[in-house]
Formats: sequence, C-alpha cells, structure tokens
Amino acid sequence: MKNTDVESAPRMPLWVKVFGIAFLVLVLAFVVMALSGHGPGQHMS
Amino acid sequence: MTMRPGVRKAVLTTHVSSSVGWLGAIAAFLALSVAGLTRQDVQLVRAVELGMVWIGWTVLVPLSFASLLTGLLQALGTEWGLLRHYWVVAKLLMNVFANVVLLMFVQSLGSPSYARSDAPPVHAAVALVLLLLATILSVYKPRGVTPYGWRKQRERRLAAQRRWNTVP
Repeated sequence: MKNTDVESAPRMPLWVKVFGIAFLVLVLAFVVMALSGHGPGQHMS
Repeated sequence: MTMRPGVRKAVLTTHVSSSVGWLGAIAAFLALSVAGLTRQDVQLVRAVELGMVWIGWTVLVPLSFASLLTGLLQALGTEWGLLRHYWVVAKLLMNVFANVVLLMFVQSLGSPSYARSDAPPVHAAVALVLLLLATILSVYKPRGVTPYGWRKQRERRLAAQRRWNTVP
C-alpha cells in the first residue's frame, strides 16, 4: 500500500510541454516583431 | 470561495457566450480584413476599414474583457481553481495574451496603412487559432494537475482521512 505522506507529485503531461513550447515561441515572435518595428502602434497615424 | 449553483451557472453561461462570441467576431474580422486586402474598389476598402474599427472597439474588446473576467470568476469560484489544473492555466495564459495583443493592436485599426497591410488577417488568424485551442481545452479538459493543485488535493484528502478517523 502506498504511503500518502511520501507520495510524489505527478509528472507534467506531454501536452503541457508541447503547449508550453508553442506558447513561448508565439510570445517570443510577438516580442521580436514589436521590437523590429512591426508591432503595435507602428501603423498609428 | 465557492459560488452557489445558480450564480455559477450564470457566470458559466456568460463566459461561454462571450468567449464563443469573441471567436465569431474574430472570424468576421478576418473575413473583412481579407476583403480589405484583396479588393481594389476604394469605397469598399474604406467601408471595410470602418467595419474593422467598429467590430474592434464595440465587439472584440468588450467580449474579450467579458471572457477574461468571467473566466477568472469561474475558476476562482469553483473547485477547478485558477492554478490547480494545467488546462485552466493554459486557457488563462492564452486569454491574457490575446487580450493584451488585442488592446495594443486595436489602437492601430483606424490607420489606413494598417488596414491595407497584411497585418490584420495575420493577427486575426493567430487569434482564431488561440481561441479555437481554448475552446478545445474547455471541452476536453485534458488531465494534469499542477504541483500546487496536487498539494491542495492531498491536503483535502488528508483532512478527509483525519475526519474519518475521529468519527466515534
């Protein structure tokens, strides 16, 4: 029988790792575009 | 704090309506932005620009705020919690990111150079993908608790065991 006091936390599911990487890439792409002059406010007249 | 069932259902209904409405409004915005990019008729392009401005300020922004606010209420007022399940955290990150980007880009909507560039369809397509992913997460609710959620579950289980053991 497992002892609940020494039970370790479950591992992170694969879908969370895939999502995390994809989301990080999206945020980085947005930051790079903003810094390179293609971001928000660049088209404001 | 857990919401009463009536309040919870009202908040859930508002959350689903605003989120799905936001998705539909982005699809409409995408159609307009493609029309603005591909048509040559000056009057039509001007009408498209005005339509994008109206949709942006009067539909997209209110629905995005409503979706975020009701999502936070729904998470904090139910057993799901805000940081206990990975799918809730993923939805929160996507919603906050989409809101921030929308607020930054909606200010450019009135500019003809923005409306006639390829930026609006790209932004709308990315937002559409994000919101579709959020919808899929809401429906499927994939397994996986965060370390914080696991600790909370464990605390609750141990408290229940202690209560059971003290019953005479």
